[in-house]
Amino acid sequence: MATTDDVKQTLMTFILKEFLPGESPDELTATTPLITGGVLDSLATLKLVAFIEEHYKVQVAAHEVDVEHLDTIATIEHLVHSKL
Amino acid sequence: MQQVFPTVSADLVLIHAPASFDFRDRGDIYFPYLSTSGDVPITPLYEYFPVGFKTLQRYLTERGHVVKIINLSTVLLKYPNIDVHAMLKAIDAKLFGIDLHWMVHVQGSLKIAELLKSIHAEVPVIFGGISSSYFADELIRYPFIDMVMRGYNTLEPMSRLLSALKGERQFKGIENLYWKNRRGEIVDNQLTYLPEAYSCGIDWSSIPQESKTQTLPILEVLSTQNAGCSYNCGWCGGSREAFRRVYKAPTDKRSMARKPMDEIAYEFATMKEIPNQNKYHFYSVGSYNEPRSAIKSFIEQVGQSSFKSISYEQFHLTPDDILKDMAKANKRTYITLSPESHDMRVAALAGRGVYSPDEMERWIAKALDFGIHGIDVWYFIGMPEQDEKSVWGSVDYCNRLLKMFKGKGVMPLLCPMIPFLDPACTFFEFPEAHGYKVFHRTVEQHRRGMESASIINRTNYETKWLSRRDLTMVGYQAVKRLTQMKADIGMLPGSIAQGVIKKIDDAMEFIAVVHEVDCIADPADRARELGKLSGEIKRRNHAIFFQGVANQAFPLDREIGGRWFDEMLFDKPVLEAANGCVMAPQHAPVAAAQGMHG
Repeated sequence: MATTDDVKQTLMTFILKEFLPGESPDELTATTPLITGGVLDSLATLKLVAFIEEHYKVQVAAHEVDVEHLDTIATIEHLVHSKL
Repeated sequence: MQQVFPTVSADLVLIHAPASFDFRDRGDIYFPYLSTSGDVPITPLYEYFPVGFKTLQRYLTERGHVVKIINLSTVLLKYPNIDVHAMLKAIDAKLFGIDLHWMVHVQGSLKIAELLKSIHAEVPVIFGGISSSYFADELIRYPFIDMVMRGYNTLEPMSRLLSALKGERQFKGIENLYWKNRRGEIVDNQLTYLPEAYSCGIDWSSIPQESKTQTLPILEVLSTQNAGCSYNCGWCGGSREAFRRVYKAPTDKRSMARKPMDEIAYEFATMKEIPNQNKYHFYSVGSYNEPRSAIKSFIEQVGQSSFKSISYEQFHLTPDDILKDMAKANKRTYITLSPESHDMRVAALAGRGVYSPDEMERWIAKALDFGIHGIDVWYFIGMPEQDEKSVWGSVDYCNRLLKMFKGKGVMPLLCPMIPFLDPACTFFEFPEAHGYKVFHRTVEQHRRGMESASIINRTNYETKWLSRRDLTMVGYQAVKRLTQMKADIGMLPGSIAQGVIKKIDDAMEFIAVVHEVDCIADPADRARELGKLSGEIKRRNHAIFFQGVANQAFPLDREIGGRWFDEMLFDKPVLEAANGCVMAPQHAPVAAAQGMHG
């Protein structure tokens, strides 16, 4: 099973590549607010969830696509691990 | 226990009615999933009110009048136990203004007018908006409508009307006004106020704010830069010819009015005062009608703002220099194209067809290279010569786009044109010539149509190539297939796509059941059979209305509130207290939603 750090690193790489191209990796930490901070808009959020489902072979429920579960890399990692 | 509302006083209270006023209690009208076409995040109550409410509020306020807005659709969606009668009774106004902009509101707007008249017999009720202007002759004959204000820019006539209401009540000189005198006779002041300028800028500095929501918030503002259009799409009620028909403009005169540049600058200035502007999406409506100098100036102002993202509607493929300017002004710039069909012949008959799919593909690649963040590409269902095969051709073409751009940067979308073909558009006016059949022509026919149980029977038109049933069912099937395609390419999570597909399947199945009953010829038999479905209809409607709001681009329910048009007039604690005061079980949203999904 992927470690906490593995999951965080994978998410960070995906978010930097897809939604923050050109930004310094230092700008993105495990606690950077992604939705409330404007990094992820609604479409980007769906894309991120699609990536999580495909990469980790898990299913994210509709009610989990929200600020509580997806606002930081830390909370997303927690969501992913709860499903592995 | 009686619900208590504090008195709210104003000179003018503008009321946006739900499409169906009594939606909370009706077990005889079914509102299926995505029945708004799913383009904007609204429910089938169409809670989007016309921007004219906001321009009127600013203009009249600056002239000393007190103007307040209530979006009754939003209020009832958020607080389903509200006693509308008690709430309206608490409003102390000199004039009630109701919008009838698009006919989908006809049932709700008329019901609210009737209710207001029964509560405040002495307070005049005035109608305004595009459809009100078009149907003014008919509307003024309803006993509960006192006045109709026609026109695309009614700011000055409305100011004069409010002054008259505060003074000697002399309405004779007020242009564009249709009204009833003390003897109940109808007086037509003539539609003569047709200024060059379209409206004033909106004051965006105070828009509804919703305290932190758990779901992703819908934060968007917009700028409408003109009324009317340079183009003449036959299906569109805002087209060049429709504008001339509605406003009785001579055919050799202009077909649109522009918002002055300084008024657009005013809008940008007030937008800067929106808290957290950097979290808002900005939608530029009708920017394709703007001359080059105006769009350049507009983009410059976008560049000085801090919006999270911006969308521009474009009719033609945007020239390179403008594309570059757009991309530079905001790093998340989206462009909305509406080719309507992949088939050039159908597209041309729909009023488009100004670029081929090949040209569009090359342009998209270039636009993305220039730094445009995304392109939304809309295809319509309900166009001339568009049969089922043609619809599937457009769906297949969407798949080509998704694969070509690997699900990045391009979002194809489908819009089944239901329930209404706009009055005044060319296909509505000359249906036979274009292969259309129109079922509801008058206000009253539209009102009765909106009371049909089946969405198929609510639809006011069909074409030689797609019947009303086809428009609905083929539309659903097409959206369903496109949803699966988006999941396959990684644009939508598979689990979310499956949820959408399940809802579409369920809607199609139940539409067929309701439609069969709605078509029973004998009224008594129909009522009896519909009665048997009543509980199921209510459960499904409540799931649609009270679980939140979704659209095709983001097909997940989001909390209502905080959209720019979610004006609720009363303070939140007042509405919450009233809502909790009488808990009618049939209005309990959570229970209803759970009932739906077991």
